[in-house]
Amino acid sequence: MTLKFAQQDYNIKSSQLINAADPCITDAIAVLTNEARLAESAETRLLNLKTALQRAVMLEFATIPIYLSALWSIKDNLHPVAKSIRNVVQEEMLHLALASNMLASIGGVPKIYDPSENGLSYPTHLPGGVHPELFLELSGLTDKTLDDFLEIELPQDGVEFGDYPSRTAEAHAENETIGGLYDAINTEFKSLMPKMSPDKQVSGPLSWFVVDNVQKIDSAIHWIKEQGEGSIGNGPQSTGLSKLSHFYRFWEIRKRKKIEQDPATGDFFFGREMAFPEVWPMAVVPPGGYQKENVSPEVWELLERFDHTYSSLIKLLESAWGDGGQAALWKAIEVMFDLEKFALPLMQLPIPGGEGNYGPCFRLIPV
Amino acid sequence: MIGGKYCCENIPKEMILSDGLELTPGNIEFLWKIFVQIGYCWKNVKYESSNLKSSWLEFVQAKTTVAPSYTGEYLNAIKCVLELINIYDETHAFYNLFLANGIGKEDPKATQLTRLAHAKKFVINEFIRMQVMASGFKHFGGENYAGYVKGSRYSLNPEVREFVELQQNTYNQK
Amino acid sequence: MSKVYDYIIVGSGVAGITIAKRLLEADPLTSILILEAGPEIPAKNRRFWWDYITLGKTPYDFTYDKPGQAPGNLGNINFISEGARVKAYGGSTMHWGAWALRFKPEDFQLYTNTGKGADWPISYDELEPYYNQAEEYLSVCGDDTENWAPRSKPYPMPAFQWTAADGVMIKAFRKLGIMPGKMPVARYRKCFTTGTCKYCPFGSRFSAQYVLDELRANKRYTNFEVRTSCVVTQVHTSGKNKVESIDVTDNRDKTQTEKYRLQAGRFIICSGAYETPKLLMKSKNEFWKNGIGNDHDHLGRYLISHSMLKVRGRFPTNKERWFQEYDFPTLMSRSYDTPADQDIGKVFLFKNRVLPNMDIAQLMIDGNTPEQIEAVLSGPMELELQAFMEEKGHFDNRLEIMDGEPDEFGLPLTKITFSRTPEEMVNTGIRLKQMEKVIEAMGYAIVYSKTEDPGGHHTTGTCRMGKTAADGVTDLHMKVFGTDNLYLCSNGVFPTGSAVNPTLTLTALSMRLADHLIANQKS
Repeated sequence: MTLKFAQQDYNIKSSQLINAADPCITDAIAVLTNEARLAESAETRLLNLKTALQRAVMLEFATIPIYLSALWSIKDNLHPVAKSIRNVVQEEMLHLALASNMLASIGGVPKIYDPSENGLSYPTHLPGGVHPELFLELSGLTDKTLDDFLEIELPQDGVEFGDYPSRTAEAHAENETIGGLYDAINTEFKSLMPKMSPDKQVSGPLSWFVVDNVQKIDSAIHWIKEQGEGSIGNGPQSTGLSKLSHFYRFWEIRKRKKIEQDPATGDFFFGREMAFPEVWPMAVVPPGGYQKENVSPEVWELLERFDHTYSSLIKLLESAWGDGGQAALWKAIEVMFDLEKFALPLMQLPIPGGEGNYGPCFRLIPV
Repeated sequence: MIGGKYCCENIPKEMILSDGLELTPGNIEFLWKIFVQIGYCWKNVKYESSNLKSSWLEFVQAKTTVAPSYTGEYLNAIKCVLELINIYDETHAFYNLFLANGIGKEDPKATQLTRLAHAKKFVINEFIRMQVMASGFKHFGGENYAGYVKGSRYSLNPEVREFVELQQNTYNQK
Repeated sequence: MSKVYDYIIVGSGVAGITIAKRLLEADPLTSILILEAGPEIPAKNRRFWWDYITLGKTPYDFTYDKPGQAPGNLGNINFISEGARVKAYGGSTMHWGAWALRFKPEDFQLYTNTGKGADWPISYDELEPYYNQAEEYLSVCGDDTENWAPRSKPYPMPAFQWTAADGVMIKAFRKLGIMPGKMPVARYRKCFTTGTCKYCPFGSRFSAQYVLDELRANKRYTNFEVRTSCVVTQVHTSGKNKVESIDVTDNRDKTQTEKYRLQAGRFIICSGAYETPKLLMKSKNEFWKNGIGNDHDHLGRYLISHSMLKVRGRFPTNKERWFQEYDFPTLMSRSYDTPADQDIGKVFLFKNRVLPNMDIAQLMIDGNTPEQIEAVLSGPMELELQAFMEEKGHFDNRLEIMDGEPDEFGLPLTKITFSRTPEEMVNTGIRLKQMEKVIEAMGYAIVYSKTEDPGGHHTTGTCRMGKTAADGVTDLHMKVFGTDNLYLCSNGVFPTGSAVNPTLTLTALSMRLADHLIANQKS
């Protein structure tokens, strides 16, 4: 063992900050995989890798609010459906954290808090030009929202059993997927072999491990793809029934039946009934969210306090990979639970005119 | 007791003052190497210590930026360990430091402690506590430990080793 | 002197803040001043948390009674106050374990059932709706299938499951006909099962601090104020019935103590079972020669604690390398907490919260090799069955003000006279024998079987409610007999202590008092 202290370089010039608004994922993948890149300088390739990882971070971030809205609309938070969706949310947070760790490992700084008009707001397409056929909107849990979730999580290589009538399967087949982006990232890590450091990464219950060598890039991407991001080998056959990937979890809820396995044949099928939970009828949040002049002061207070808490949370989370470190992650965990304080009462308030109930708007505001 | 002139020097037993002192990035990296050695010595780190680094950095920051600051103690510990490495080879330096330091129990009436005893008390012992609670306990079989941020009760994994009722076999044997 | 508050509340623990919260929710403009003798100690502070991890030291332990500040050796047994109560913003909820158990209906009728102790002027049924609300408010995680005490609503949160290390004791319980139960504990959904409940880094266990912080931050509560480091030294009445003002020594400015007098429409003393009676004892005047509410010499008397019973067992090996993974017990039983048990004293059984405790870090610090540590972890293991045993109030068991300089917060010193009767000592022996049977049924060898000296953690009785002034200090609404506007809300008002922790019951009483005050706003 030798004790040598490598000087780490964490400085990134602000001009190198990543623009995740670039719409074309196909190009992003090509940049990481085409032969021509090998002629580029290491700096350029590293920058491209960071750009791709920032894109992955935004993709992971974007689905969390829509799943949270569905989760909170369930009246009994211990209902099996609530548990299932909560598990999806936790895994999306893990993916966000792992993608952020990968980015931080090569000196990047994940950007998620952007209160400007370029920041994430709903309804939205998935960031980065992934699945342009899909539109994410904030709503309570309904069959329609489940249909949207199923399309978002649709496995890249088809559904492993049963008959799922995807309305976007064709578009899926033509377009590059999130899984494709991760594969390209993995390829480029292995080709470029960048210097990696754990120092600006975080670990904990939301972020299982740090990624400081290329083997751990494999693990991180394996977790992300198996649990969610629509790729090969995430059907019940490979995950087992206790760790169903997101598509199959949502499908169970949509079908009102649990996925089971025939012990004789090993085949999977929809078996026991799974009751659909009672939900608050949260209406689809209008573009830009509810406006102060159109709602009562009570509703506005809840909306505003939610947005404030949410924005503080996202800012804290971002700083966990910046100057805030682990302490910011712990604080973020605490703040995260405060969201419900405002979201749950909102969902119980009907919108005058009978269009359903209010719900949080997930607006990023200056805090 | 192990160590040379520096380690064996007696100084007041109160925490070493930190006024005007600051840890350099190099100091922090050296302290991290000491921390990592705990896992090597007790073979209790399941994956790599690097998974604990964000927590450890936060710990060091809390201990050095809020009064009473440990900066003076940390700098003293670095000097002690450097001296040990100079006298023994690296492996033996850490082996001796952790398992055969000869420091003995602190006499509550004593007004002085050696520099090495300072390093052990204020740095090594606290690092060990931090390491065990941050994940080192898992090697010994537990799921949870005081201080470990195990996670939400509402995730799929149980927080602790739970009592499992033996299922009564109610099937009729046909 | 010009301002007259609607309410002055003395003490910022769970009782005072729960009342304040309800009053403000009913009318956000209610003017309330909470006076707290102790300091404000930050919650969720990272350095404090790390010091707790590495040094085992909490940031509030300096506020505990120190040796000599509350001697308890005037009876036939030593009554221990050190470590029992936190004198700070948030009160003892800063350090409580948050075991949240309801009393049982018979606890309200101890005298009727046994001819000993006292009855409550209210029944379980009257308090039951408030137990539901208190459980919701404290976020109690409990088992809905239990039927220890009647309940009209399920627990707001699911119980913590038994740990693997509980298994051997669960089986022994069942063998002996003792029903094992899940310990109801107050933990919010955000509990990350970190095990440092005495100083939670996430604020996942109820603390009055968090409620106070929210009340202070609420912009609608413009007339709400909390002053820490402000000790109330005297209560003044104009005539017999009306409390007019209090004297405050304000120590907020460390360099200069300020003294002033404040007025309010209603006064609520919520400063725990020690300070509440002491403040009234001190407040002597021409109308109340022995102190306010003390015409019948009840103040400070009938002091009740819980007798802590312990039976420890040892097993030669620990093959599974069990160690306690939570900071609270998950296994308990109230099988000996029934009407039939009242005569000799009920017991509330629970498994020791820290055993089997393997302090792995200490073994490493002491220089043990990995192999030596393995041997310790798989070697002899100890488990312990503990119990709180109900005590009955005796006139001569009392706390009084002790002469001398006040403590560092300006609170008068305490002296305690506490004795156990020969009959009580026999009864604890009977209970210990029952507990030993559990340890034996586990196949463990008994290491010790003992009754601890009493302590101040769960003190009750010192300013108890009564049906009339002849048997209590306050009426059923916790208003001091003979006054129009002085209320007491602390564990001290409990006429009986039952066998379980008092905080849930105190919270329910606080809510009930707030509702009573709101309903009788004008009077």
